[in-house]
Amino acid sequence: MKSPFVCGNKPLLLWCLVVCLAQIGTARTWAAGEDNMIHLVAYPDPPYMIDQEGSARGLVIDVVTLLFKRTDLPFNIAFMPPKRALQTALFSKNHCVLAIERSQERESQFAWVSPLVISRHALYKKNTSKIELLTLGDARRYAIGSFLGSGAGEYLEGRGFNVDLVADDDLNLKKLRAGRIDLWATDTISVSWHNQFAQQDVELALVFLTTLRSMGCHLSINPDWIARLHEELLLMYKDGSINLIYEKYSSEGFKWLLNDAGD
Amino acid sequence: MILSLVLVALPTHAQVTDDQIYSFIDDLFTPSTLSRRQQFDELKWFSEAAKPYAGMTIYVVSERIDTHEYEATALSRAFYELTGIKVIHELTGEDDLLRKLLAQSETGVNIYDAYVNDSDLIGTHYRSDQVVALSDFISGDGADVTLPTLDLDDFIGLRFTTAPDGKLYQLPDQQFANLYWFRYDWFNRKDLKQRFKSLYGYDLGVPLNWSAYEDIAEFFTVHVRELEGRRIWGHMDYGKNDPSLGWRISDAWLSMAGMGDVGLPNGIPVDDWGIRVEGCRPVGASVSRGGALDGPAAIYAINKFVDWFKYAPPEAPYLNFTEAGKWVSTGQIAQQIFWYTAFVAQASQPGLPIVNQDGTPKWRVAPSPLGVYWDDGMKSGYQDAGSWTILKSTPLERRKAAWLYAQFTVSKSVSLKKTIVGLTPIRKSDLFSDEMTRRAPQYGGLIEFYRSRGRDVWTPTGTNVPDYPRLSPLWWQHISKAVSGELKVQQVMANLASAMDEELAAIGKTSKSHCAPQLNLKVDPSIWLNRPGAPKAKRNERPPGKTVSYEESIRVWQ
Repeated sequence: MKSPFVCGNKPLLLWCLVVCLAQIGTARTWAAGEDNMIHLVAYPDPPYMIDQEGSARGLVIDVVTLLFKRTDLPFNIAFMPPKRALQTALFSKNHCVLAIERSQERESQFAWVSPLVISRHALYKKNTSKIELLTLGDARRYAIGSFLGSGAGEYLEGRGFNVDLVADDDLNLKKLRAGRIDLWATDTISVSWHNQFAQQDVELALVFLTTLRSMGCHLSINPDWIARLHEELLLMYKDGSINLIYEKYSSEGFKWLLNDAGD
Repeated sequence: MILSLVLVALPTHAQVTDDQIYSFIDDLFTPSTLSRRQQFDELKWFSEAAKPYAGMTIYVVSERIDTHEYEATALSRAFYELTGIKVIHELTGEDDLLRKLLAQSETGVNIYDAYVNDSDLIGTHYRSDQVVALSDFISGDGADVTLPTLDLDDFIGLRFTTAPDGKLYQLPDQQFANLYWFRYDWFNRKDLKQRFKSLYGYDLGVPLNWSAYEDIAEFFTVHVRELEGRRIWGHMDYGKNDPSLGWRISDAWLSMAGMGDVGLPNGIPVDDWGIRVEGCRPVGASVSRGGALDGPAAIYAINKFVDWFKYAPPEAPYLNFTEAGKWVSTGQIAQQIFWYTAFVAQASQPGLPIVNQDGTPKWRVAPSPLGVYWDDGMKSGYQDAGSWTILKSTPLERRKAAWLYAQFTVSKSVSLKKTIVGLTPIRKSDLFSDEMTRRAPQYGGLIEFYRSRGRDVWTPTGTNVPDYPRLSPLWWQHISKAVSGELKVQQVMANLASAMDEELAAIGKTSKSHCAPQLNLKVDPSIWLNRPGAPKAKRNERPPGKTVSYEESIRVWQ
């Protein structure tokens, strides 16, 4: 007796053919979807990248969302710890890591879209503090708090300053208020985020460093897409779109770059 | 909700008094080539010219060397007290600085009001239309903020920052060269001299050619091995897979081997990167297009670079420029063919094993030995000229304030003291001052070099390179494969030349400059090799070694 699942009779054969073709069609669509999707991997870094109950928000998220919308390229965003995010983009096709430093060591490891974020880093003090800083050298005698992975903390450490690095920048604000550190090194956008519930008791003492962060993409990504994203990003700077995004997070738009009462 | 934080209110800057200006002069800016009264007049000019900009904060960036540390701490403070303009003077690595300059050019965002950027980018800057031509600015919008006593003729490096269009694009702030460094005391020991002569048949002295350098390296590493109770080496270098490996080569190593053409400052028409130009257009780096980057001279240069690691400490191939720089001060190195004079201050510190008790160094710097392909009339080595550069994206008022600060840091009121601190001279008047004559014995030959025509024959990267930030990573990405042994040198240079040509072609496609690259068609390399000039056909790469005494070697510079 022939098995009903052996495609020996005509109706079944036809049925098999239809099902098989449908599967192939679906598989092709699925593969094309995977190939055409750019997977962005972010790591928690408020206010730049925030994973809030499965929803991504933050300054960098706003920039890339607008960027991909303008270039009409499909993307999704997932959050993971920073090291894993970097490794994922390095080794997984069609993945890009958000907002990392574009060093020469990394230059040839990724395809770049930059600059995604321009940050000014500053030293903050309690507004009751008598500390006066005119140059960075004036800060050598003080205990400075910063957070691991900020770049700024590592920069100061590398230059021989007395830096205490912690995993959470919120802790630095607490330590500053408690007098356990004299100065807090952080960036001028983040400081508003960390102080959002408080007290007007912290003030900027000195800007000391500017950093750029970029999107680093796996080298498999279509170079034309990279070029399109890069060109569109530059247009977004020139037409004021990036400035509008910054205004959401800092009251003065690109004036955050000036960051001085005198200007 | 974003709360606005209280921004620090700087104390209102009171106009500086004449007494305060004289205090600056006496406490901070002595010695100077200007009289006290002349210094007062200059500094007074700054305080008056800066009045419209008092209260402004400007942002500038430079690389991290002693000279810029001095500017960022002492000079920026003095400038604020003099003018009321606050200067955030950031220090960073040169590659990071370049990335920021590029970001500002591309986005139009005014990240910095001025950069101290190497004049290696002169070719990039004059083609890009992004950089303010300072000569135009001085006679135009910036006339009211240009120091009357700036005295451009007094600058020794203006030729490096002037483009083929005759315009000055950058103003030198600091300069240092790459010279031959050696232990003058060891080279003068009778026992070592006799032993060297018996082994090699000629005198131990400053090597004139690479054969002699190699013999001396072998002598100290293999035969002498130990001095003053310590293991010593006849060579030091660095080869880590890192951006500084790129500069190790592109800072004229191939020209020292003799790869390029004669003609200053960089070789005409083939320069120290092996790039040929026709008119002002780069036409190729491969020999098949008339360049020299994969020719016999370039291959010889990299072969020697890699081979000589056998005479250096075993760590050397794994060190970068900063890490390797500390070795010379340990007292274990007899000579180093490629040594930046930016390290002179470090190597002159009292108490080091390489410094005498009276503060004079046991070492000297001398002209670098040259490879077999080098011909008379070629550049002899590399000189760095970190120079003030202002982008057109900087708004005019901020540009003027930044220009005031830039001029302050190089003014005659300040420059001699700054040179003493950082040993990166920029002015003739400082170099030939009595103060420098008095100090010269402490600096191992640095002043003698800078007083001589040598300062014109050691030159930065030139105008054949159309986009330095884009092309410079190619060096370390390819040369690292030769250091690791992953590829043979010939293959590495073929790959590098091909990659350089690809990038030149890509630049040419998108650039609107009339000096954009336009590649030659490829032909049989022998056609180019058989013509006079670069690319040069193979020569005898191991002629007998030649040396001269140190005193004779510096006479060459006179």
